[in-house]
Amino acid sequence: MIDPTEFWLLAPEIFLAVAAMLLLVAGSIGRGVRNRPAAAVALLSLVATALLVLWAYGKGGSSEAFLAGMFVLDSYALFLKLLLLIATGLTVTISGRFLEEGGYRPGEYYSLILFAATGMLFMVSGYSLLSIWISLELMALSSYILAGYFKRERKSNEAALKYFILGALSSGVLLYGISLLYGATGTVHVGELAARLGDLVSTGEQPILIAVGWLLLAIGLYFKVAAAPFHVWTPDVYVGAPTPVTAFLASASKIASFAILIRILFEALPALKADWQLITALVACISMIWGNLAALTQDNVKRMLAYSSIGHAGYILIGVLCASEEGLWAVLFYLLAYAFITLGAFGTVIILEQREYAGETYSDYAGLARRSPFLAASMLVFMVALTGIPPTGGFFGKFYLFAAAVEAGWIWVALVGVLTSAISLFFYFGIVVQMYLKPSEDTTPRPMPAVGLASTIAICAIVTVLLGLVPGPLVELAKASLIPLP
Amino acid sequence: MMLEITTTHYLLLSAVLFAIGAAGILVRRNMITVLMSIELVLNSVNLNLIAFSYQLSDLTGQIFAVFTIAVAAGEAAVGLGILIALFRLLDDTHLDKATELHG
Repeated sequence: MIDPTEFWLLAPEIFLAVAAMLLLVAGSIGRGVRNRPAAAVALLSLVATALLVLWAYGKGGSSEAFLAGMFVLDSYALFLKLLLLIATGLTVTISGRFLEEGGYRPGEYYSLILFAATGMLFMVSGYSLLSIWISLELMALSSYILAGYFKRERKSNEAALKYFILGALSSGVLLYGISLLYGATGTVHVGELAARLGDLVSTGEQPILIAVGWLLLAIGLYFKVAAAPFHVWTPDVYVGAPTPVTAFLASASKIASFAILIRILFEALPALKADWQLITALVACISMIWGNLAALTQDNVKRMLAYSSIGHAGYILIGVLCASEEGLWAVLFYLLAYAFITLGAFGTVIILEQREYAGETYSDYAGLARRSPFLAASMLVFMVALTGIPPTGGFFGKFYLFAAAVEAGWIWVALVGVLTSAISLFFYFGIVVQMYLKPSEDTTPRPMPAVGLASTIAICAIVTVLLGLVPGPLVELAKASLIPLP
Repeated sequence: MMLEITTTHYLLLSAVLFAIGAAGILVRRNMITVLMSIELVLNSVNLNLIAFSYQLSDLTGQIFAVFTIAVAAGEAAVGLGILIALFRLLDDTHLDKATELHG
């Protein structure tokens, strides 16, 4: 029997879903809501949700699954939920400009962002393959629509189409894997699945169902975190989608996808640890090499950041494949740093964009240091952090990941990581060279005055530097947010 | 002679359906056909779930299948919405016309 009071532990998700629905209705009546009130409502709902998350965790946070084993509210979920809410909040603050200039309705946009965030909160709490999959779909369906939000622009529609087709295929692959694992074990509950898989693997029963099942499940998850060779959708979707949506996909969506990847590998498939460590190592290396090499040849900044995000998925996978405490908290710390760095970098891209898609090439950044020292300095911080140079959060993030890999005996993977980081210096500093050493032309775009956007970029830059100067407190926080190791 | 239908037969059928669907998504160039192929993939999963549910005498699989059907409906709605938006710009449902982005 389900104890109805357990629904209180889902109060944050329920509240956010209701807020999203109200915003959707308000945005559809008559002329809808204007951008500023809609953004304010969305931000307030996110803050209230964050408070509810803290309240729910205080009320019944434990590693025990509740609601018939569908959800769990442990410290891992708490850390990731707060991080996701922060990333979503920053996305809301960088979204205003394109809605106002493009004349797109803001009510629906913010409501879709909140729906996606609801899905993400459910994802990190999911403790059954059923609940994890349904919440993944909630996030994915909202993201498909968001990618096509510039509905009068061909590129945006194409991005939505490609994202939808490949996303649906990956959902199908993931689901097929789940169905085979269900057939082998008779359960979709993460804890029971792990126990029964352990028995089956030790007796050698159902080898084909288990092998094909977990492999398809893992491929679906690698697709969602945009790791090579399952990354084909990423560059096109990141370039075609409205830039705030790209920032959202590269930060919040990626964090939530990594959260379920780790939850499933660590807690549902510990019996297959040796297998998934090897596959993850291969995927991590291919992602790091392919992402960084392909980024070298780009002249569009959004496309470069898309390939860079594939490379960074590889770095984060290094921490996952260690399957150690050091690896896990390094991943959590990296996700935190990466969210601020990515949102800041895409925020800078937005402020330089003229109309929908102009102002995105490297040469548009020429002489930015003269035209706007603040923007150039912030972009410098983000590029330094993405390369992994001190004193930024990006340095410590990579340092902890590589250290964990060396400690766990995956030295060759760490070596690939260090080498590809060195390669990445070239394309990240390509922008820096443009900003500081090249003179600007008459045609180069001038940054728009936008106070909300500029302050978001400033916050992201300050946090990035702070994480590099005093990483201690957040490392402690990440260390307190671990799940049982496989 | 009567052939007894076992779970393995259902698994083979669903594997074939899945392969046809996946191939259709990757190879077919008409958007409507691609949407149909997506449905085929999701339904092959349903077949798996229900066959296992019957074999194991466990209800989880059937409940899962109901959820899958609901999500498949949502996915079809979103897919058709995106298709209509693109159709208004291109006057075509052919995927080869969507070539602004390539990477």
